[in-house]
Amino acid sequence: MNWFELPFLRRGFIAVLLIAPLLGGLSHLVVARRLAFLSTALGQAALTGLTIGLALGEPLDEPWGGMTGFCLLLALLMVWLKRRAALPADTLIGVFVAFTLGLGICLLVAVTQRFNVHQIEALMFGSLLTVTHGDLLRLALLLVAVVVVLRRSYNDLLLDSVAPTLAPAYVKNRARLEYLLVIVLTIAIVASLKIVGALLVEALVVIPAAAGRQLATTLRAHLLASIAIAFLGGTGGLALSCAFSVPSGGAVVLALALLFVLAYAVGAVRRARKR
Amino acid sequence: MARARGVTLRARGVNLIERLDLAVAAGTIHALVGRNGSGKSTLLRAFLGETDFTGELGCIDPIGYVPQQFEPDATVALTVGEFLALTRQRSPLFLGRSASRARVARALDRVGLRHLEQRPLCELSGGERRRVLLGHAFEPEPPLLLLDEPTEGLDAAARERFVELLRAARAAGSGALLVTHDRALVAACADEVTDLDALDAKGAA
Repeated sequence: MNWFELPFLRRGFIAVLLIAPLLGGLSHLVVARRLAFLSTALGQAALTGLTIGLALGEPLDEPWGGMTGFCLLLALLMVWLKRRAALPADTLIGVFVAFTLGLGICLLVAVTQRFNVHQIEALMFGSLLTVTHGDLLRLALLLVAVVVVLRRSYNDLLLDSVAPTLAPAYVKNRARLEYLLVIVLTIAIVASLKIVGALLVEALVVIPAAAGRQLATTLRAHLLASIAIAFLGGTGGLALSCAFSVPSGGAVVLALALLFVLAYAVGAVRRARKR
Repeated sequence: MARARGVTLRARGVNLIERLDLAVAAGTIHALVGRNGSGKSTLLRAFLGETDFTGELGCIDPIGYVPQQFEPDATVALTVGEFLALTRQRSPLFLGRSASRARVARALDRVGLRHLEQRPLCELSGGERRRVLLGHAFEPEPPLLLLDEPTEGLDAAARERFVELLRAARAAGSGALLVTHDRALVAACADEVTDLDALDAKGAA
């Protein structure tokens, strides 16, 4: 059987082709700015946003309003508080994760009385079957928009991330940049949910950069390695998902974790040789 | 270049600096001395808009800044050359750094570290990192330099080179606000000195 002739698989492959540069490309900024936990919170918030959207009457196959709206609101609130509160960021985000999950579970029970829980499962754990042409178009447009938006701010954003004590003298509007990145990240995460799932999407914005770092010593190599690893993890996950009939999100994350272990081993051997 | 008038800085419920007047003129080196915790670094950060203050405070832009703390993040792979390119080219670094190659080379030549251009920034020693920061701040010579313990961690040769850089910048018309505990440096370079310990009316908790 030629798997590529299956339309849903073809769509899944194109989705991975778009998500790899989107989330894999953003991942080095996520780890540099310590936004990994915030990304987890956003994935879970998407679930809560979904149930809010459904409760307000959004259709189950296009639940973007509730997810995007709630995630953006929460992301902006978290950054706003993080910039002001005397609490460490992970403590603050931990409170938000608990709150959104609690709210989500309560709403989920109310909503599932009207919907089939399996349909919601698809968004929680990711499902290839549900990717539509509309999703692909949305991802493609988003990828272009992210490159255009970050093109101008990229150098400032990176300097502010790697050298926060130096940046105030050279980067204007550092707060604006932080909000900008988090907004871009939120929208990218929400748009990718159908493939990886709300509970696992964090893996795609953390593991590519973490694995890529093991292999790269220059920024450009790090970025390219992150995108390549996201792509390999995505396609490997699709293959696993088809071969064993498991949710695509779980399979993608397993593939990514395996790639991380391999990259770490390669990095460790290289470091040992250098000594 | 930089001016403070009646500036009061508070931190941890204490007035660090009270009603400070200070001016850094073009082509002068103004040393800021005082014991630990007297508010020297906080004053520099106030010039950068990083700390709240009362009074009038202003300075010219662009600034060359050497912070006291500099621990570059190692979670992102970044070479010394790429780091210096970040403020020396408009095009995003992921598209390459051909636009800033010459400027980056000049900055490294200023501090004799051209051979480290391809090295990962996080692998440098403390002294090397400080020299990279000095090259970053002094090339091209900005109208105003804010220097926070610039000689910390430097060996004798590097310190000598820094003094030359500072004098050359002054000769080229730059003003500098120099925070340091290095008395010999103050004696060798400073045109004016403000001793924060000598300011009276220190606020108490």
